Amino acid sequence: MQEQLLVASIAGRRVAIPSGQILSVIELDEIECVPRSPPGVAGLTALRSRVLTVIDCAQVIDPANYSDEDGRAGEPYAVVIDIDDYGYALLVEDVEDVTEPHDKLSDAKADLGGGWSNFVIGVAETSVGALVVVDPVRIVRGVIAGATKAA
Amino acid sequence: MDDLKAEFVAETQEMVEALSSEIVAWEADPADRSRLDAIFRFVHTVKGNCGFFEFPRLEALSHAAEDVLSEMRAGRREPDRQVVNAVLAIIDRISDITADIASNGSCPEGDDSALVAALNGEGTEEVEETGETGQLIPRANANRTVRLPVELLDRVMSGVSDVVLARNELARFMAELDRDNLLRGPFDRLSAVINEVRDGMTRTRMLPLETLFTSLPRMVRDLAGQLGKRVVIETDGGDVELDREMIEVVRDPIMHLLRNAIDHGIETPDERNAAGKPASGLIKLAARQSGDKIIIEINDDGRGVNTDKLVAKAVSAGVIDEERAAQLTMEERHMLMCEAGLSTADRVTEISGRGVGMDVVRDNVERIGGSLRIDSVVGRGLRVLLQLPLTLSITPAMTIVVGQHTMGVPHSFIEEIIDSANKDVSFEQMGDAWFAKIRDRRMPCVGLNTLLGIAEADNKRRALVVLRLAGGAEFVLTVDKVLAHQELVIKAVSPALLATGLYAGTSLTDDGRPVLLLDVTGIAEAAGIDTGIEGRTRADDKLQREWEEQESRVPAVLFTSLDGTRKALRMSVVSRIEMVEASQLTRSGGRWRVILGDLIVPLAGLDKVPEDGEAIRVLRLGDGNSVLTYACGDDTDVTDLPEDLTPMPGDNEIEAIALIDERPVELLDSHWLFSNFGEARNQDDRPVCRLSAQDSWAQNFLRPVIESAGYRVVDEDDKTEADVAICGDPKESKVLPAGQHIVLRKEEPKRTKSDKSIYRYDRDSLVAALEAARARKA
Repeated sequence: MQEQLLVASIAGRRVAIPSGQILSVIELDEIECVPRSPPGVAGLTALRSRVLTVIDCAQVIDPANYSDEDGRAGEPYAVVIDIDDYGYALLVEDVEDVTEPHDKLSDAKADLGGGWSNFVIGVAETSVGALVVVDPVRIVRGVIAGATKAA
Repeated sequence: MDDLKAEFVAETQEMVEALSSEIVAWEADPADRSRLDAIFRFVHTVKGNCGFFEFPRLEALSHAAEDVLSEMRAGRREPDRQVVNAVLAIIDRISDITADIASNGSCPEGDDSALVAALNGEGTEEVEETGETGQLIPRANANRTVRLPVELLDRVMSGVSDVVLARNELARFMAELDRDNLLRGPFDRLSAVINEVRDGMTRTRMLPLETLFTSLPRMVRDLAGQLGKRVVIETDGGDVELDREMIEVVRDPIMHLLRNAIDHGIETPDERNAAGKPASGLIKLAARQSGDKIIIEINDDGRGVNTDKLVAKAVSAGVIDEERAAQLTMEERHMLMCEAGLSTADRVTEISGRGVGMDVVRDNVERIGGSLRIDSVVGRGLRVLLQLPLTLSITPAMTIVVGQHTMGVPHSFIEEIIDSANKDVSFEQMGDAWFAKIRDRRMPCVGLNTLLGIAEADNKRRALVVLRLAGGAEFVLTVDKVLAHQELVIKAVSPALLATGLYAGTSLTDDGRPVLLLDVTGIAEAAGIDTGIEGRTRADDKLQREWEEQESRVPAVLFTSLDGTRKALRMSVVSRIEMVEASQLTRSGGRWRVILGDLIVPLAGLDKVPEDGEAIRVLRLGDGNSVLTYACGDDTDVTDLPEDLTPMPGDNEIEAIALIDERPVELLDSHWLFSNFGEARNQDDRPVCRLSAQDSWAQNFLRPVIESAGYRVVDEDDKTEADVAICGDPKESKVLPAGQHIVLRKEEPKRTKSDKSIYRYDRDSLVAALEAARARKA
């Protein structure tokens, strides 16, 4: 049996996220934005007594086509993951379903454009069609690396 | 010592429990090598551990068993039925004795020679009877403590924080309900219970500093010995409680400061004699709680620090230039010690090295939100003050507003908050930089809005927060508004945001919104303010004056008593404020008492009996010996007593009347309180031994031995009746009244045949004499 995948959209594209790393999927009502935060960080939010750093996946993956306006409004959902004991909420635009891939992941075999290649770990054939599988940990690490470099 | 003992008991009992299955298996197959090893390890550990205490029976038993088992391990002896039984009987006996130690605190009397003989195959019958393996369950009453993994406590703690947040949210909805809504009663009860649980949980994280202090006398003795010096350490305030993690964090800095004091501070006995000081150096380590801070003071009576030398060194090392050096205040000169690479010691020693250390100590202390101050008098000694927050995770902070954002500023950095409209404030621009002039001080001024890229609020009025960096540099941060003082539970900020260098942590407000805690040093750096010693531009000696003022101040706790009058108590007698419920109060013999933990403490100042379920606040007072409490209202404050007090000779209870904030305040007479309400702790039924407080050898060498023999130690000023007194000279017995006197002599051989004194290092005879005295008392 393959690891189940969460089907969601990032930057207007349908993607799959391996469900094993996901602690929960939450609906975000409020984000406290953080002044002078590095690109990719949308702000902070609270999940029970935890403070989560909110990551704007669209900005990380495809910064060239990103504009502030296209909307946090359109991104009410977030995928919660833990990296080194810090909690992160990754903004996604839509959450559709959880599905199981038919087979092992295959290579994308092409440049996916934007920054996609850095965060995609393969392509999965599923009942809802072929989906690129993104690794949420790589997205967060990408933000941290960018922030550290800028500092 | 008691803590160590409890740990020993817990460990031994745990091992016995873990061993019980091994024992059964070993009995079935005595040739099983791995079981044999496990049992050997057990007796070996017990032997090693109990040698540390005065448990001769345990030591003899485990030693005998260890001998036989190692013979078996080496194959020199066959594990036959008889010897197996004998070993098992010994383990049973060890377990029994341990249980006794747990309930009585000392090793019970008894004869184990039969058991030991049985190991060698003598007198077997007796052993067969006791040699059953089924009795290994520890006595139920012996186990009063539970050992828990710290992670579990932390998990419960964070669960409790969640509950509190949910309660606060609920409370907001409750506020919208009718006054007489049915839900109010249950909610208030729930709320009170939650507070209680949270307080209890917070307390599980606290440990007395004693756990750190107990290891110090030995370390000091060893270190001083290595250096050919004589040093005595006195500790005070071991009952001050500190967050468990905090104790671990301060351990290294304290050790380092002690090492420095012994190595560089205290002179050799010859040098001390020449300087007219006693040959033994004295280090005083005192801890006290002051508000939400813990202050640890390390005082030595050594040679102090020659700051001229220090400054010269700093100049030659290029840390500061000469012009600056001339302007440094005394405290700043001392703080040069904490600059990396500076050390006044002319020689390198293996104990505290050279120049490495004080900077590390300061960094470590500051990392946890504490601060460090040094002062000294050449030839007289050096003093280091460490100021630490109560817990690592709770930081007192000021919440401020910039634009849409609410943020926290750690309280420890804040010097002053002042409104920009205040007439003492003016702004000046030099080049592109702004400066704020508050009274006579000109400081760089940083607009937090500009720095964070946030539009300023429309109205021109701003709040100025004067911040003082650890290095001494001051600057002003302007913000839209200062909100309130809050205790924030700080969590680390994620690496993605840490990289900005502006934020030190995150927290949640009462209503569950995330708040960022500003990294004040980072902000100063981002704004281009010099944070190092070069930034110390103040030529005045304000700090020095402050330091001196602090010396002459008499702090007092101000409160409203239950009858509504304003009263004050000297801070030195107040140990803390506690919330107690009506159910914790009892009345007997015409007096109120309050139950605090396992103590029953007299309660004074209770004019109005609280109703059931009502909670009142009490000030917990201590004179170092007895404890009592004083009921107080909700508004407590700390203030300094004015110099002119009006004495009240006619009134016993009131020492004087003071005018504070233009209102009269009655200063309670602490002496009267303790003489009227104080009770010696009567639950202490340990025998009492009197030792001279003047005799530092007795206090430092003898006292631990006597206390481990189960005695409570008092000195000549204590009015308690002593069962035994220990004197270095028969003449001393007059000054040290007691039921019986034990005389110690300094030289080993007896002076005369009839001499009943004991050689001062003959520990066994001394302990035997103490045991005998205790037996006589019983």
